[in-house]
Amino acid sequence: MSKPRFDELRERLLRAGIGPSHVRRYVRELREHYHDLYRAELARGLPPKATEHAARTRLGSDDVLAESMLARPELRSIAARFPALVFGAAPLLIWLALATLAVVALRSGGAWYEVRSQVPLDRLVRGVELTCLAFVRVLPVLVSAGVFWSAMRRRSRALWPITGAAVVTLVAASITVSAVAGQVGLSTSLLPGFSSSVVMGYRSNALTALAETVARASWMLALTLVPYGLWVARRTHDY
Amino acid sequence: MASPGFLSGVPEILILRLLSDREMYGYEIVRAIDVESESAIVLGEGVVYPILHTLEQRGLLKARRKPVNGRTRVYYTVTRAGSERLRDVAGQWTRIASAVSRILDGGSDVKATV
Repeated sequence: MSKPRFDELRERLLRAGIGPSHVRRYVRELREHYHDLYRAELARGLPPKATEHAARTRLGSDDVLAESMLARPELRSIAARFPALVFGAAPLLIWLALATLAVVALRSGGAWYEVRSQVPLDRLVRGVELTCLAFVRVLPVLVSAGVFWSAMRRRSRALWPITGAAVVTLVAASITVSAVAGQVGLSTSLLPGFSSSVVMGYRSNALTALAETVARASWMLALTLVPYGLWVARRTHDY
Repeated sequence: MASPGFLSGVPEILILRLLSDREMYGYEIVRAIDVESESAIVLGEGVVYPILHTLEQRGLLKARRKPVNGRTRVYYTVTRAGSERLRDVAGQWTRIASAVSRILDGGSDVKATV
């Protein structure tokens, strides 16, 4: 028995915005249903080819199966209903929330260590600096990867995922981490007047800083955008 | 010809009723409706699943995967909210069905609101 794969049906439903979990389960259930129909038809004594045809006909055409799902807008995912929010704004908000939590944790942790720990100050400062660097250089790449992975799963249009990932990497790339005189400072080239309370760094040439930011952001974004672009191109070619 | 709007809630009632007795998977539900209604109501084989997904999303059904004879099936059961919903819609349906019957029998004092 050759089981139908329902690849086209799956693509059609995902592109129409039906939630990936619903699509995955629907296809799995249809396969099982087809299996049951096949056995029922086989028990009637039909030859295998005719049995397959009869089972597939009873299950319904791809059009019928798709329409019955698409007629239920409540099964559309939140990302399909609000792509600007989910792919455009949420990544930046998530990254900002995580980064803020990290800063708060580091500050309270630093204060605690200052009082109780015997860890040498320079090692502590180095650890905080590396953690900050991870949050402004590595985390944005991971967030972008998450955005693109989610967009791929949902077959979402590329505009909002790319916008969301670009904003996160640009904001993060604009931040410079510096450790001077026992303190770790953060500054951003996007807001020259902004500095954290412990900032040491000061960018005198705003234009150069901005150019560096854009270059850094491009590299960070390319790490996830290139694989995503290749995937989009392949999908467009296949369907 | 039946009005689609008038009959659109029928699969929901039938599914909730059947699943209130025991948990079933999609194929079983379609067969049960066919048998119980003596083939008067035939639900599309593949189109039962979007209804099940919707009922689950509304909290009226609960789904769970269960391995049976080397295959994994998705079984559905009615939740407490589903049982309450069944009571409501079954009551409405009974009132409507009696009203329609009275009209068909030639009665004149029908007050049901559809």
